[in-house]
Amino acid sequence: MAGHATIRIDLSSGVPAYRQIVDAIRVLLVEGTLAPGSDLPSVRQLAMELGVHFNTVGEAYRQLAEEGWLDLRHGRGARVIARGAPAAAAPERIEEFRTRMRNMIAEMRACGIPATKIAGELRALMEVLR
Amino acid sequence: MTQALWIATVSIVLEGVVLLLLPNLTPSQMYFGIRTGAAFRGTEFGRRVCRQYRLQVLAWLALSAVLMMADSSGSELTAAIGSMLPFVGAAVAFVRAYRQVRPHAQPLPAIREADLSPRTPDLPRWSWLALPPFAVPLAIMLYVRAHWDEIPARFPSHFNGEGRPDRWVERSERTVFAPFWFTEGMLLLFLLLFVAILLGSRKMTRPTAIPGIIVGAMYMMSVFFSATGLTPLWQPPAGVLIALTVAFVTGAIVWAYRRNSDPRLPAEPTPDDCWTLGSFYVNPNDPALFVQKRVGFGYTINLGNVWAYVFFGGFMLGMFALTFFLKWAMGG
Repeated sequence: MAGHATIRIDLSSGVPAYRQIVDAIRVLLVEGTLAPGSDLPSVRQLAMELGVHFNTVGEAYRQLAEEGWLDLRHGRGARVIARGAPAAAAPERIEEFRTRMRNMIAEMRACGIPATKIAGELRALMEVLR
Repeated sequence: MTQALWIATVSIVLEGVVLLLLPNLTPSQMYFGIRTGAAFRGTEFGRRVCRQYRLQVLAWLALSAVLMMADSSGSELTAAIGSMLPFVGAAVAFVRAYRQVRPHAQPLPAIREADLSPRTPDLPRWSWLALPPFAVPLAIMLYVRAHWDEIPARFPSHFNGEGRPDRWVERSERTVFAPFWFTEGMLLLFLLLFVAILLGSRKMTRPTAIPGIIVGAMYMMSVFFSATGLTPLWQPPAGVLIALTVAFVTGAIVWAYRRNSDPRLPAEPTPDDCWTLGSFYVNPNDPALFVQKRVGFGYTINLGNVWAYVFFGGFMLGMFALTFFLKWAMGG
């Protein structure tokens, strides 16, 4: 395991808390901070740390398990598992990601961030998440 | 001055110190049970509220002292009332300060963080330090067993307010060893409390001094009660035991003060509307059993969590059962 496996959520955000937890943990999984074999905190423990309901964390763990990242063992928390290379994404899925990225980049441009800066940020992120 | 009055006087002095320091014995982000931010207490208004609170507490302490000095007989009733008065007065003064500070509450931070790293274990590495106190009563039991023939046929089991024995019991396995089993039971309850606090609270509040103080109290109890259990062979001097208790309480207060006044200690983001008078926390949506106190130091239970009731009820039941056992064993 490398780096600090800290997740951060914003309860005032319009994005549901479980979605933020999924996104934050997925980043740690993709960048390798959480390696296969790592144990995640129990649903109860993580819910307590974040001050959210059990079901919120339970839903996030289930989503990650469905994506193939976690093995949920009843009463024993969650363990990161080696995930096989996913099949190539369908064209519709790629189109969905493109739309989301376009919206986000447009929002960044609207905030006054130069295109070169955005491209640099994307390249740096891609290096980390490679 | 009777022993009861001495004990009452010492306890009032300790009470006074704690009550006067109460505004400081909180995380620096909190002030009179309200999340105000660390800078608020240094403002002119913040200092004025604190000054008024302390003046009222001092007035109640003075009233308590006058009451106790006026009773030349030094009755236990006067001592009890004298001990309670500063608490009542401080509660009234606190509610007033709480209402003054409440309009200055800061909004609850919406950002929450959690460390998923397994490097932060559920129990800290030093938790094993909670186990050695269990050996003290066992060791003294072995000592008493080895000196069984030196125990008189009847020995004192209770002492009055002046330190003189006023009840005796016959020597038997039950009467001699009951205080040691009582001690082991109390230590077990405190061990459960220690573990429950660490497992049932957020890791961000771990730097509070309370888990360490609980372990310290276990050492204190093991020595104090085991020494009391030595009564059939040797009567420990009450003054030494009282001095030991005062030294422990003073040390705990100083340590807790130093830990809690550290501005790096974060304030737990518990919603303001789940607190009553900054003292009672009721949040059914919070899985935590114990949350950081807003008044004083340490933890309070989440009254909205049914498991907190189960634990607290079990703890109190254990205390009553142990007290009942001791009274029964000593023929009380």
